[in-house]
Amino acid sequence: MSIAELLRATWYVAVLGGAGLGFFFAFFARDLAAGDTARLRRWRALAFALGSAAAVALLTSNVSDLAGGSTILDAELWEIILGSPAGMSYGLGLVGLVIAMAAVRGVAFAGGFLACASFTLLGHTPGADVWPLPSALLIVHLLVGAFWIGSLPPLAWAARRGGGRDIALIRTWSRAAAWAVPLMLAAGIVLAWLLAGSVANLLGTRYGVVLLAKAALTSGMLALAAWHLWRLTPALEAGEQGAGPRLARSITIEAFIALAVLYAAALLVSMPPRSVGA
Amino acid sequence: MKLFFVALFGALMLATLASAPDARAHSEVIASAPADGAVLASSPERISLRFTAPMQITSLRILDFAGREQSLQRQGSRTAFVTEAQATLASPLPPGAFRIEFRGISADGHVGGGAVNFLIDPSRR
Repeated sequence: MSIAELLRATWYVAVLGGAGLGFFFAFFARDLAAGDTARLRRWRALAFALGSAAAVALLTSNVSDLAGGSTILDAELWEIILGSPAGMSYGLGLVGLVIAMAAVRGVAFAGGFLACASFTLLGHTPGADVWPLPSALLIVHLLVGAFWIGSLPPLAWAARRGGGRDIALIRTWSRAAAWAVPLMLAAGIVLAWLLAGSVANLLGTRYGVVLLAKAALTSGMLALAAWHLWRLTPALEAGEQGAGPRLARSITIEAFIALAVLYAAALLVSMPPRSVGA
Repeated sequence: MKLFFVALFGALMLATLASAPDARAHSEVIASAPADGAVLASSPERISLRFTAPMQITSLRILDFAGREQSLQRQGSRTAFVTEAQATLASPLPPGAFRIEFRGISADGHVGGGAVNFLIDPSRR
């Protein structure tokens, strides 16, 4: 585990988490309990602060790398990195996070979209074959992934309260996730195929191994989500003792698995998806 | 409201893909002078590295076996995208092991670098 990988994972958490919180606000603002609107705004601001810190640290690390480790105070190197795809990606991501904090639902959605789209400026999709299909698939994959991950905190708050309005919100969210998550999986599978190129590359490269690990972790999240839908939410609706806190705890576990998924994603971006010569 | 978000998604997706830059390539070293692992009878006068795709070379240096940097005069600027980086040695290198190290950015934004090793051994004349 390197510092660069940790910083990149932190960036992913901030941007996708912040975008997702923006999407949750955009879709469910009218269903939010009193106090949750302000709480969502605070969490989105926190995501922006975390993203800013991660972006500055990553860019500083890049400048040091470009200088061969000799300095971080070279103005020309800062100009080069800020004008590079990396600088533009981080800049667009931060702009997206700011817009995602808007109190107007459509604007918050647009901000979250921009934050997710910033990932198409860097990594493997810009240089991939059949471009821009990989970029389009990546945006769909990230939009739904961000929606899922960013929804976990407000869903946990609702579960802990367990009131009628909270249960209705959880049910509405589950209906939206039921069609959105398969779309995310399909986009991810096609994108993996386009980038890796073959099953041999999936199994025979470090990229493939990490990708399979990410898929396994996502399957864990899906299993938990299914348990929430078919066991814990009905228990909450039936008024079972302690059902709310149980669901909230399980959603928190799902959130920690999501962090591991984002760490795997951060590893993937620095690995070649195909074997040399493939 | 659902229709509004679907329309907004469609508009944003079209705008993003329409404004996306052309596909960009990742750069790697395909050739160097001296070649990697070369054994030379005397000091080269210049060094060069050739890449698969243009990149900005922000750091180019030669180090001896003890990690001491040797004096180089680089051709071109750090900001230009080049497929070949060249430099002239300020003075001949003594016998021994040397390492050319470079750092830079590919057009796809990947920050990286590499090294080429060579040996100067007058007994190989």
